[in-house]
Amino acid sequence: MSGHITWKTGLWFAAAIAALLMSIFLAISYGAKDLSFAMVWSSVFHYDPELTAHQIMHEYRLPRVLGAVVTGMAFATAGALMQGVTRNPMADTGILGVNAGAAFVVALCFAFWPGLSYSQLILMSFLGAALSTLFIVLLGSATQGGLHSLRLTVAGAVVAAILHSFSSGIAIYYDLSQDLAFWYAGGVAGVKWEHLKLLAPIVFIVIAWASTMGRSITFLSLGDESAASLGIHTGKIKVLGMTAAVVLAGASVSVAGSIGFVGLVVPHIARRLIGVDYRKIIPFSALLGAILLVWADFASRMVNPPREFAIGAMVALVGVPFFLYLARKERREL
Amino acid sequence: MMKRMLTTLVTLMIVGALAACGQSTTPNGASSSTNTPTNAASEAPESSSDVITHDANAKIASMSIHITNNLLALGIKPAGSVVGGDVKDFLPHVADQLEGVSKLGVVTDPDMESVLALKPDVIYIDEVYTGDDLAKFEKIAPTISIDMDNGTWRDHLNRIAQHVGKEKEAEAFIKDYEEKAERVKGLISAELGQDAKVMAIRMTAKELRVMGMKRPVGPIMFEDLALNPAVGVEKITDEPYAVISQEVLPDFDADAIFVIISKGNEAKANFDELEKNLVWKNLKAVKNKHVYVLDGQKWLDYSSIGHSMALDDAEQLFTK
Repeated sequence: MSGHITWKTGLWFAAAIAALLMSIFLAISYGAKDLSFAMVWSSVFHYDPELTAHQIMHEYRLPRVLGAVVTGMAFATAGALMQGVTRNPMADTGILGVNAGAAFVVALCFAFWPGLSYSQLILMSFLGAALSTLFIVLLGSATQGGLHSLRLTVAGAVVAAILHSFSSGIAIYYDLSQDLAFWYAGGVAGVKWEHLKLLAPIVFIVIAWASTMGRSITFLSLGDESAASLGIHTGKIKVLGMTAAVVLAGASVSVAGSIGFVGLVVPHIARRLIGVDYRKIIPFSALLGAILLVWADFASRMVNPPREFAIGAMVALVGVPFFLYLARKERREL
Repeated sequence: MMKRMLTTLVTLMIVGALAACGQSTTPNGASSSTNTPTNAASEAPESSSDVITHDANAKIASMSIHITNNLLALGIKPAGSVVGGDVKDFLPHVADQLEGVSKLGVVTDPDMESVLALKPDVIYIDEVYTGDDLAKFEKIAPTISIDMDNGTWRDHLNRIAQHVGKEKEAEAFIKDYEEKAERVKGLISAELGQDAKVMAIRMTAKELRVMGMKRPVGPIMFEDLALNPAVGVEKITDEPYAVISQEVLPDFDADAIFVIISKGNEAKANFDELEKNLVWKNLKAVKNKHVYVLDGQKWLDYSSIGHSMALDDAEQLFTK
């Protein structure tokens, strides 16, 4: 790796961090109540619980914007891991049914154990994500010829569809539609400090851990044989990579519902901007994912205030055209 | 291949996203009383049905929950009635008075078979909802169509009283109501003071609403009880309510807050969540313990009996 590339990479990271900070500041500055920039600034850095404006900032805007940051990071990183590990450009926890598994279990919890605490819910959400992933991998491997990336995608899409319909069934039968609409469309409006306290450490630790796997995943993305010849334990890395993705997706679904596309689109953008090295793709995807969700959430509440638009739809509106544009430009296999 | 897969996938995902959107816009638990169309249709030309008078003991099919409740106020129990669209049953505050009454579907989707089976002597319909189906009902029995968007509940009560020959009872009911309103007004101002500004909010599963000057809540609160609307409430005149962000709650600067919580766990959970919120805890009304959770169905029921029960509810809240 030449010094020139490192310098360029550093610039990209600096730009992404600056963009993220600016996006966060912008997102917390606008809302139903008009607040001056000075007020926003002081509420963040000199929090005074006696001031109404500071309370508004602290109770409503900061948790949801930080929630968008953390879940955006998690979904994007999970997508990058999935794509690298499965060598499948279509891989994403939304498409592969991981989110659907988590959302389904969360739906079950709402119907049968409505009193669950958040830490219990997050655990159940993990469990759902893990079980559906296991099931999808088994289903994909069961056919002749073993696990193939297209087969995995199809298996995932099928399982996601089944789980979605089960979740809908539960929602209708137990009259949960109000609760569940949220889990489908996703949203960070309900994020509270108590969620962030649990969610943020999990997400940050797993992303840091995943970044250390970057080298192995880069080799893995070249193909099993090449990776094995380079001394990579392909099986182990695959399992670890998937596990990290499942934890990230499960944690995020438990608080923000199933927000699709982030995990699919962001790694592709990251790859175009900074190359194919997963040591860089993973942290860079995290930054871009955070920026995308902060903006998607911002847009979702600014379209028709004070009513809120579904954040999932917002991500799709922004993400899909961009993704199609990328797909047209990017001729080579990802 | 790659490209085709992509296109298919993206199409699939867009469909999925749209489906999710559709789901999220499921109409929430607004009770039918707040869904009253705002375009007040003009009173229908006095048709022949207006002169119908009938025995108070006749078999009545009421195709409007508000007509049903006005009948109850006159001491008449209809033989059949539509049910509340939200609760899918008779409204909880009058359910005990409607025991044994046939359920005839909801106002927007009447169960015609049940109406036929009831063999009513006379049918009451709400012009606003069922006016177009007048002919269908007239085939079953003489039908009285009342425009429930026109006039106040007092007018509705008086008009129904004419049909059943209970004008005196209607008059007595209204007089009784005015006296009660006067009494409750005194109780409230003793507790809150003469100049207190108040607002009524409604927490639903999806949103927080501020009830405006229009029915169902406006007239009883700001006319009958003559309370002063909080800053900004007086501007909500086009719709029965305005959806607000919790962020702007402090702007209303209300001295007292009346709370209506929609039915369902989610609305309740939302309100519990709001009560834990620092912004809420620091509202003037909350600090002074002037938050009153109302028996919502009574207040949202724009009918004589609903309003009378709402006053009873207020009387209870302010008598300690």
